[in-house]
Amino acid sequence: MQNTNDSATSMKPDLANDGAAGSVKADPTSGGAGASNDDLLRVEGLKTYFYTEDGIVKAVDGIDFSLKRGEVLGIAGESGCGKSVTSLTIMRLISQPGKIVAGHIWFDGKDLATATEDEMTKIRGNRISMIFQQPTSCLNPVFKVGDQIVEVLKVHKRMSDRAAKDRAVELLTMVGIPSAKKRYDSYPHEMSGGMCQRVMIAMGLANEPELLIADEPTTALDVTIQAQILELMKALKKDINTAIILITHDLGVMAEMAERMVIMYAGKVVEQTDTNSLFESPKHPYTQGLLASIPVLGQVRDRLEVIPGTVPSLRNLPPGCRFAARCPRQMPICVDEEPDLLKVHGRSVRCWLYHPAIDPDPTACADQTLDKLNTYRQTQQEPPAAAAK
Amino acid sequence: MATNANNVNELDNREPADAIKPSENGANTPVQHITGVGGGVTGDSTDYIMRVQNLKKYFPVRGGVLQRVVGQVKAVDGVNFDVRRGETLGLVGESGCGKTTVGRTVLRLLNPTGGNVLFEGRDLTTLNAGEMKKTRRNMQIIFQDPYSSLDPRVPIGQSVGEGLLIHGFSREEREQTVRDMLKRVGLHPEHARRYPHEFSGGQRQRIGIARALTMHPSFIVADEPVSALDVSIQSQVLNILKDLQQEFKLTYLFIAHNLSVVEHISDRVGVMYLGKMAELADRDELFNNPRHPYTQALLSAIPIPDPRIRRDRIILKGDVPSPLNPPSGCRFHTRCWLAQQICSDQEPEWRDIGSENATAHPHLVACHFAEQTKVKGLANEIKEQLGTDTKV
Amino acid sequence: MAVATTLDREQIASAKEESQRSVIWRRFRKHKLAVVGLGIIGTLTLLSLTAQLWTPYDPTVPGFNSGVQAFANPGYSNPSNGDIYIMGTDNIGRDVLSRLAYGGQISLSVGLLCTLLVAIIGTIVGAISGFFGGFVDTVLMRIVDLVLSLPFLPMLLALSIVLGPGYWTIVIILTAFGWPGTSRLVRGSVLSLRNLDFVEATRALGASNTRIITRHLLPNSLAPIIVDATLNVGGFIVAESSVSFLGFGISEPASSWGNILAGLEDVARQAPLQLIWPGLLIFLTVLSINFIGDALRDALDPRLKL
Repeated sequence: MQNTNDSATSMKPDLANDGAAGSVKADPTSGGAGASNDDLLRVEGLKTYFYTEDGIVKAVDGIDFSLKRGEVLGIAGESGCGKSVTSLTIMRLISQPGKIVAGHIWFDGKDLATATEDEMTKIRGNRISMIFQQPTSCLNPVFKVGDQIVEVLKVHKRMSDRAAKDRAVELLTMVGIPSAKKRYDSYPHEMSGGMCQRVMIAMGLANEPELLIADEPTTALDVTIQAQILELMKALKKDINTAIILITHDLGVMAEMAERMVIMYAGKVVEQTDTNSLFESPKHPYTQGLLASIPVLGQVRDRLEVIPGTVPSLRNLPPGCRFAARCPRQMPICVDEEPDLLKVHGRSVRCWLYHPAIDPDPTACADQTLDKLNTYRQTQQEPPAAAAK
Repeated sequence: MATNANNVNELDNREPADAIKPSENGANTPVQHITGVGGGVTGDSTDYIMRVQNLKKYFPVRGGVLQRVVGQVKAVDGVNFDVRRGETLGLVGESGCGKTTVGRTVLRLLNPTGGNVLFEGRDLTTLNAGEMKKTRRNMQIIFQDPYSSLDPRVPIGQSVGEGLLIHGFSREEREQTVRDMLKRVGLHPEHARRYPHEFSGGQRQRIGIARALTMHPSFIVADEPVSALDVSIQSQVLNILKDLQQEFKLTYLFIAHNLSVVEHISDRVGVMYLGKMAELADRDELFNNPRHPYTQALLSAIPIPDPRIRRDRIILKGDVPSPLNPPSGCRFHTRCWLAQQICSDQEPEWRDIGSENATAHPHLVACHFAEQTKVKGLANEIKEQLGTDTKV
Repeated sequence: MAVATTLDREQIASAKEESQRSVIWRRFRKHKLAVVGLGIIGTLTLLSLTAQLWTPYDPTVPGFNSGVQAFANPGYSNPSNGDIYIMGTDNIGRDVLSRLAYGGQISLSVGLLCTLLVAIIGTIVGAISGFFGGFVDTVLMRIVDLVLSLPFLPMLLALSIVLGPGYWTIVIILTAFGWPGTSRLVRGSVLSLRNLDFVEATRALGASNTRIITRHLLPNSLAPIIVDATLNVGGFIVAESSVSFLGFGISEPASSWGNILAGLEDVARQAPLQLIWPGLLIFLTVLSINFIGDALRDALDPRLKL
């Protein structure tokens, strides 16, 4: 773990240089250093790489987003886009061969990327907690569920056995488990998937964390059970005012739960905005394609739109925009240059189409476009942020 | 009966060469949807490819030192439905409702505990091994998990061509068909010598589809074919399935838990709950005029990817009961908000309550109170909220 | 020789079509230690098989100073007749080199033959048991339990009384006690594979049970079978020695690596070097087989990049 810290620290100057061309400053939501008092969590230029035998897997490759207290932020994307690694990185649960290579995770003024393991232990399960996709495998099969909640309570708070047990029963009742006192003594295998997920949520909320990370919390559940859990999460959010990072590939769940959304593709944030405008008018071609390709209940279409091809390998990423090869609006520059995260109408989009200096013309010559871009950059000094098309 | 039997014989007597040249049948001939034929409710004039009658599949539960049978999981417990030639019949339900078991049992990959499966007019449950092997050429299956559905030690070309090998086609025919099929599902024929692990999930699913189609079957059970795939890959596979249906005149029994997907691809939809069929009707009829309380709850539980739509949700109490010891009467009564005494006493009849749109197809439902359960319906609800008709 | 033909074939089929066998051989060769192991096993086998042709002395007849405790160190030259004993002689003056060469015939063949038989029987029983399940499974597995619960030594005594000591007695006894372990292993593997979708898919294509077992289930169970077999080889070579030691196998004056080792136990202190020779050969054989097994397992698994 010490290793990780060292490397993260040593990468800092590098990141600072990189920052001008990269996206840190371009991201409007992250703002300056002082402008983030109400941000509970601010992720800046975060990179998590996995050093495998077959090469470096750039699972998370420079992402920025922020989260206010009590807000529900959705992170959506397909498998391999880095959404789960992002959440594990925030929890600092990345182990060998993974490493935080660069970036900051500002949590309430503290950088989790460089925090020591001791500091993280105090935060994990206490101020930030996490619930996972497979509730049945996340509970220890040989302990009673109630005792597992008690353990979470006692790790972080000095509590008498009696008080902890009462609190555990209270939590079980809160997450809607009938006859919670009896259920306290149940073992995980005696409960259904939905019940186990409720227990996981009870554990996650045991210490009333400021941030709850829910990684595909309902994916393994049936729809009617999913409805129960979503309803529960909404109700609990109202009561405890916990900020939630909701990670899911189900855009329906997203639309229902999230206030703001981050769309990820191949380790990068491609679009970030509030949920309503994202669904109403998606800007990034990937987001557009994603929304057009899902069958929507009650809206029968003869054919679904298709995003051709597959996600590029994270070991061997293209030099330009990562979506370029699959993009219906690909321009020559897309293949050569990686676009910045641009601010367009109060949202962030990583796409050249919205760059003020670029003519969204698929036939434009790459060199010309590049010249234009460079001229623009020189005149602006700073990467474009405010300008929109 | 007699004509149907002849039909099967004809199919069986086809020269292998005929069977493996699907492309000759042309992509331009659209499927004749028999489902529209008027007055076919009673069944005689309708061309059924499969009729399932009172199908039952129980799995024994063994316990104790002597491994004696101590109980039975009634995975499928008396299911009736027909599949019309050329249609896609969607089968939805939550995990444990028995939909996958139905898919396996109608193909006789599992032997039914009771009931009949008439395929092309012949009762599959009475066929001997040889007859069954012949029939298998006409009925195939596509699986959910693209990772376990291909033998990791066999090159994919061999997997795709295995059916042809089993049924005695020559090497040249096999190789030709494998190449054609791989091309047809959007893969390079040169990939035939590669192993499954070299492909992505979506590509593997295409390989699975190619394998199912090499023998030019008429009936395909698609068991959750897209639920393990990423969103952007799902639509690719769904479109391929639709295209192939047109091209090869396929009939699908499409099993899924995702109602949006089922709505997209199906002509008719059946809803299962705890080993029983709860409701079965035309797609639009089922989604807009669901009559079984379970169907209504299921439909209301789906989150719609449009934040403008806020729906009143029916939140069901509790979990699905164990199929080891299903509730008496109507199996849904333990979670049903309309349940009355009769629901726990008496099993509701599987009956036709008539479609709203007066189509030819029956609206079958198993609920005592089906006449009194009318709801607003999904399309109307969305229309009200958005002020537009979303039907495209 | 096999090497040559495969190489030829590989060159012919160079770019486009490479037969599965040559792919396996190409992948096998990447495992250098296994190639060395193959060389060692090949050399040992060849030397043992041709022992009659090259060994200088009769392995059963004491060469000199008969009757007396008479070790000779390696390289000993008999002053009376000029005979040279490269590896020395044993306690009654027999040439160690010749005894090891002839003993190799027994030890290697017992080890390899029993391994092969155990693998075959264990695989068949395990595959049938795991695939069909139910009653068949219950019966077969109870037989396995029965065999595993039998006490080895008393049964050995009983069997060898019935069969009489000798080479085939050893083979039968070792096989009879060896297969249940393998069959359990194979059964477990088949059990975990048989409900996978690709098996169901093959059945849906109309494949017979035999085809499903031989073409799909067993190839996928190869890894544990191979590992088990490589471990068995050493075990059987050593087991042969204990059986022989008890007098139910290869008995004096015929030799096997095991009984050479066993025969030295009370004189080990006087001539520790003599213990090394058979031990070294057993060690080399087992090690080589393990390397070959590892390489074979990896070469047969297309998922592994080599």
